[in-house]
Amino acid sequence: MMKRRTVLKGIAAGAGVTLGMNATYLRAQTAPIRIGASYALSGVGAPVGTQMLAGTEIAIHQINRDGGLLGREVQLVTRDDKYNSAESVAIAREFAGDGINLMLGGSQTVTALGLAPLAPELNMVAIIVAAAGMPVTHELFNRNIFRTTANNYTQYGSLGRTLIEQNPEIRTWVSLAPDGDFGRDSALFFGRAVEKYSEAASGEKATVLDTIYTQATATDFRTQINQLMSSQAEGLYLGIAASAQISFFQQARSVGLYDKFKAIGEVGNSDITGKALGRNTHPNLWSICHWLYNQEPFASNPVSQQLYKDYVELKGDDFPSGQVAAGHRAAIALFEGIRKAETTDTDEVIGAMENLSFESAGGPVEFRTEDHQMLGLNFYSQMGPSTEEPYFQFNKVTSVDAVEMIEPANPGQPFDINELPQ
Amino acid sequence: MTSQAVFVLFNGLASGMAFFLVAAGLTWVFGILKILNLAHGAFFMLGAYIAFTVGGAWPASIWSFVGVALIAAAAVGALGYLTDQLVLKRLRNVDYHYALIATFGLMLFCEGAAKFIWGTDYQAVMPPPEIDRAIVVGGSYISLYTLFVIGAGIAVFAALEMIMHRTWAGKIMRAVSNDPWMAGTLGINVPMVLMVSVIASFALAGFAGGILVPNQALSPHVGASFVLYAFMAVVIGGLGSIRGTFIACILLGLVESANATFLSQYGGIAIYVMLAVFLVWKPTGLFPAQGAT
Repeated sequence: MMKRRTVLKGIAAGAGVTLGMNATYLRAQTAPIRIGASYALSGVGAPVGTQMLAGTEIAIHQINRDGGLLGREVQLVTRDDKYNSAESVAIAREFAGDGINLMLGGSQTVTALGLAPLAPELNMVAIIVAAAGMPVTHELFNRNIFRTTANNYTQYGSLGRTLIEQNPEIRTWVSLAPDGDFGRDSALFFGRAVEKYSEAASGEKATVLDTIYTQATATDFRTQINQLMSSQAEGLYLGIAASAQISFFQQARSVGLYDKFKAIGEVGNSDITGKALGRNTHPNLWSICHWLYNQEPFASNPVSQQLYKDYVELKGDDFPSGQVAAGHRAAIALFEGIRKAETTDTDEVIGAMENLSFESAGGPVEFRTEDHQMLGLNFYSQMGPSTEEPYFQFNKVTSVDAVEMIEPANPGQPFDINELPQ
Repeated sequence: MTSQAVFVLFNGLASGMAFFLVAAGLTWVFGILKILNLAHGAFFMLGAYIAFTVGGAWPASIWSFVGVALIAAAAVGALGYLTDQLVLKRLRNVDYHYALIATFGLMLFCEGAAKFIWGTDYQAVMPPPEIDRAIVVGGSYISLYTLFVIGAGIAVFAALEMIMHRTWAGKIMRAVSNDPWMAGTLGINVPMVLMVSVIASFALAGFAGGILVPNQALSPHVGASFVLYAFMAVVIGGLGSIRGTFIACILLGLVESANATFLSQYGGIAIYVMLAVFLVWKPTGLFPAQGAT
């Protein structure tokens, strides 16, 4: 027969264990939600990565100001991927080792290609913030990744369409692109769209000349500039990015390229190029636009207005880069996924995000269930020089609905433009 | 074909002289101190930023542009004095590995300082109005700024040649370079010569930054794009030889230009082939230092 003292000890031990478990459970339910952010904060990707981080930080600030997520504070753990694939992999592993299962990364294709295949192994939800490379939602697709930017085909096809629709008088186009998968693809997609939409724009099919290639990190473009100047083209797609693009413009302007080319579409530097070149910005330079706080439809969008207000307050700067919205949008996508799932569990969040729609600074967006590709309006801005600070200005914003320009979902399979109906 | 040949020639010379403007200081300091200064590109970058800060993005005239480049040279020269007192002086009697590590650390420090002072946003400086246009030569578009860079490179080479071979100061420097101990026993103030050489080398980096800034987007990493070619030129020319470096820069520029024009699908490869050929054929360079093996 069990003694009374033994029974009391057993009850006390049981109560202790239960209380301990409850305390652990309660701690987990009230502890901050930690989200990892891996952006290029140094190296050639830094001017873009730092702006995206700013957008993510503002999103964190906003969500915490509104009481957090699931009643918990959200904490951001930031790392610098140095615009390097190996580094992005190491950071993802570090996050996983540190118990973080929700992360934002892949601010560029080079880092996304390292990060994407790793997400299932690490049991993570990985938001690919701004990498447009096709493999992310094709051969490298897995259910743990969600892309919050347009893919390469949609983005540069839409840019080509925009350029020819806005400049139908330009009959001959050429591309200068980096000699790599991304550069070749973006020039191809741009050129195909110019050909396709030129007939509707002007009744005559435009000519697209052979693409001129260079190195992505080249510093001297005089040879390519000479080729461009000697060509018949009057419209240009410029596939080189970051500092290389600015060096190109510096070298090209002096030899009269601005007079020869009536319109230029560039890969995505946007205001980064405008800020650097100022009054030497090409007068008809078109760019991918993530956000322009003072232009419609952003100016009347409440998410956009609040983002601008918080940016000015937190960063002390009146001229935010459009890239800020990319980092902000990616964070909101994850927050909304967690909110909908009512948990931070990886599988639950993935399930919640697969048919998620939410409001961003650029209007409503949603994920395509099959390949987790974000759909929404893609914006394109036209800029030129100005006589007032910051000596460049955006003159026009147009949009193309991703649904009109996206390929059918084909996760797990490589993308081939030639398999699409022409 | 003639048009392309003309373009290759002008473009090659322009690239070569840009490389030389950066390499001149690098090879000078190696010749005297026997230190391969890995931070040279960082001081070139600081020169470019100083020129941007003083002169702005739109130089008013070619004279103010050159004046600003000279101010950048003076400022970076002053930084060279500080660097010599704080870092390089302590490395003169230690193994060269320590010098490599120290100058690498210095490079990181300079890049970090540039980010802190000027931020990570790209900046762009334009050529002065007098040379901010192009001429057409044989069907090729040649910018006047390109011709200006060629002229600046030749002028710097001529000045260095004259100083090194036609002045007492140059002869003293060569004496210290060849045998510092013997130079010291003959009454030459060797520490002073070494310090002046460091200042001159850094000033050349600053001057190059001021002159070449309209050619490149300005960022804390701008030095890397030039300094790699500068190192190649120093190796091909013969470590420490200004004359050899000058010729190597022209060769590198011409090979790079021909590569980009005629073999654009293999962009940038010819220059490495050239380096490999020289390392096999003339491992001590075109103008090797005395006793080089």
